[in-house]
Amino acid sequence: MTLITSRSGGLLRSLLLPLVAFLLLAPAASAQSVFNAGGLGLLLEPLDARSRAMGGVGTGLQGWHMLMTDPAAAGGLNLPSITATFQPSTSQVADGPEVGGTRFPVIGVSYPFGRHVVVAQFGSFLDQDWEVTANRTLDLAGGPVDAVDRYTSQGGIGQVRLGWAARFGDQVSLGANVGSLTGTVERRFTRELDPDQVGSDVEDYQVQGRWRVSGPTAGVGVNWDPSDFLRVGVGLEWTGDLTLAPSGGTAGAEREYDMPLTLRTGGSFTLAPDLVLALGMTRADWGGVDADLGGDAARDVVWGYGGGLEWGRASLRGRSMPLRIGYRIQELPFHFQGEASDERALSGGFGINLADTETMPVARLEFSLERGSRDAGALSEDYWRTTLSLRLAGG
Amino acid sequence: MTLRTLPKLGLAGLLLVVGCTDAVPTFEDPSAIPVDAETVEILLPFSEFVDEFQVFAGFGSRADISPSLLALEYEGELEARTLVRFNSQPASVQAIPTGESDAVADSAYTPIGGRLVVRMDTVRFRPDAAVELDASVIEQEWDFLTASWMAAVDTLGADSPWAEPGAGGGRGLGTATWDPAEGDSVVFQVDSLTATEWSDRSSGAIRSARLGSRTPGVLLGVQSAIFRADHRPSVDPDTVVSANAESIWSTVVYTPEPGVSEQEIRVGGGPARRAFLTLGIPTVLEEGSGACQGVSACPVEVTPERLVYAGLVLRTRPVEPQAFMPLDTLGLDARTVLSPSRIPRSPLGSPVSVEPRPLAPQDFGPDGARRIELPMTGYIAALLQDLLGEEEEGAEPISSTLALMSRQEPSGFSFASLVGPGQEGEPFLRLILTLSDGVQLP
Repeated sequence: MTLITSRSGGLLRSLLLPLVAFLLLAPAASAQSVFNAGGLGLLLEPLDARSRAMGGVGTGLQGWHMLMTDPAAAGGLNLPSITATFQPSTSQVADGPEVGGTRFPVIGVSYPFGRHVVVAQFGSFLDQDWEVTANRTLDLAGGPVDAVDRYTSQGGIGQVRLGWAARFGDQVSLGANVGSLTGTVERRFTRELDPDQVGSDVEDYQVQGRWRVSGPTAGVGVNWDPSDFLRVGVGLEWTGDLTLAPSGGTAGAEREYDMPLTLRTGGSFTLAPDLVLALGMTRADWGGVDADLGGDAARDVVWGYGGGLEWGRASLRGRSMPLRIGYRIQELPFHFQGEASDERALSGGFGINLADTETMPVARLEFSLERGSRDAGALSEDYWRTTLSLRLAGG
Repeated sequence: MTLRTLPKLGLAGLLLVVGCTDAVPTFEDPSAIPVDAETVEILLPFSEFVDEFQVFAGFGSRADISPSLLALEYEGELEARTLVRFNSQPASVQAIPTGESDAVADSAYTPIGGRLVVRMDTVRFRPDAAVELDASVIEQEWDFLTASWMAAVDTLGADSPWAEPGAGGGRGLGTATWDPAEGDSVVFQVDSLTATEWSDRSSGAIRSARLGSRTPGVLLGVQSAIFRADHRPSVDPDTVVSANAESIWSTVVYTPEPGVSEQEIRVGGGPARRAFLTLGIPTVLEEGSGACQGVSACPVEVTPERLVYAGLVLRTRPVEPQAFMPLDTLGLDARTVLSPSRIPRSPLGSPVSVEPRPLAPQDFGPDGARRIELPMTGYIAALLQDLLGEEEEGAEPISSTLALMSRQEPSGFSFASLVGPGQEGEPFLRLILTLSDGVQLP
């Protein structure tokens, strides 16, 4: 089978060059937000660039693709495929310094067996990279001494899932997956005393802990295409208790946190030739984890809404390049500094087929750019987030 | 490059810029740090961290003091003399026999006199005016490594006192005046008898001189001494041939020579002095102990994880006799004692501080009483690990005995004086600990 048409070779090389360079030089995965410090971290939905560009709609988008938030959407993938998403972002609180980093929100592979498709995916869930500092003056016997306290949290909670999807007739596709939460969490406290005031030989005080993440998770979803102009999707995601078990000599017992049942629904409707409207909604009950955290640390019910438009008439060098725009509002589960928090973002992006067979794209690049803010009481953080997804298919 | 490549480069640049920035999001908020940490400073009295205290003198030799010294009633009481032994004269001298034109080696030459040329140290010891020096012949066997004011030889089983203390009593070579404004050398005339003795090539020949000062109140340094002999060759008696003999040994003897006391810590000098401290660091500070005075955290466990600083705090005191006050900065060091049972002859380990603690001369004057601190955090932490059985597998055990000493021994005839145990301002160990319950999950 010819996977890449000769016509596309130049364009493919044009885009793969910077992509490969990006992959080689991108630092370790970590999203960048001070809101990571709230509760168990910042919620990071495992969405790809197309979903991000269309207001975060993660269920019921037209076409066949791998999305953790829409298990049934892989039902029509009739070639083995691999997808990876990279997400550099920068954020800034008020007049503070701008920080940035890169994460990998979703990576997956699929393989069809007849009309069944098996999917393995790794995705993000909660990000815990953050650091808080405090300048203090300690009152020691020999006089006051300046000190800097530093509390650093590193790591994050991800999820790995094995799934199945299939089409039933022309209108219905079903999907299901099971998996586990995964990752590690490291927390370190450091106190640095001023050597000019104490002595040149002063060392930092440091205590740290490391915990291994586990917990079951599963999801089911269904997509219904009642006509060529409409797709509706519903997904239900269950996550059992999140378990953090001490490792690497860390003292203490393991802790468990109740995780939410998440309902996602969405759909896409063709408003006019080459113009698609997508709408989506999520609901998750985090009330259980609020109790585990001592109360007043998380919302009970978290809602998220988003919508976007996709215009398919644009092209680049003869190739279809759909343009997208969207907006989303997402309540965040954990309070930050005692205040409920949420996230809003305006997004835009495009997709482009890098290589085609006669019936479907085999190399596709999606790109989105978001400008958003996270707010908790008087604190506001603005961010830029770029998402880049690459999907390759073949056999 | 064509215009068509610009978009590719632009995209590559954009991706690299956004992809290469990576920093942990940080904010400042003392209330957001979920660790309750308390830092306390604890001053351990000498009696609560030292199990044994010993002082010794005699490390190194007076011969290592450089430059050698001359003094008479310096600071009212110090007298110092320099002793030198010269190399032998050559077996033969070159001379042209009478009536011939070629030089021949003449081993039957006759010493007829010479000069003792002494070069003074004009950098560190420069008197304000001319001073008078004397020189005399040493006629008694002496050992440059062990000679002192009272003893010509001071080795086990072969002690030999000077006929007169201070290598005195020999035949005088006269006096000479040294004016530092005119140069750095002073010359003594050597008579034929002495020249003949100093030209004796036999193994038992003494060939030694003693130098001293006749001007009271000054301290002088001697860089070198050379015997320049005049010989009359047997093959040409009308000619005089000169040959030099440099010193092969030199040392300085002085009086008084202060010893050591357990009420005082003396470091430095030549021979050097050291103080040995065998530490017994408590791993728990009980309420009511001297260390817990004013510390609300007591009782408190002292662990390597909690220890962020440890320093031995000492206080300088005036040096007595004042003549031995350091003339230059002296580096105070603490080194582990590898075999405490062999003190004072135990080999020493590495310094516990990266840098020696500099002690300035003014710290030891009549008004000098300054607090100094010798940081030793890593050493005390390692000692605590040993005490608590937390040392790494295969690690060498840490000696709990320390030697307080000068980094360079001997550093000169002067020494540093520090307040000893049981005195006001006695040494103490300053510990800074940070206590916390560790890092917890939310």
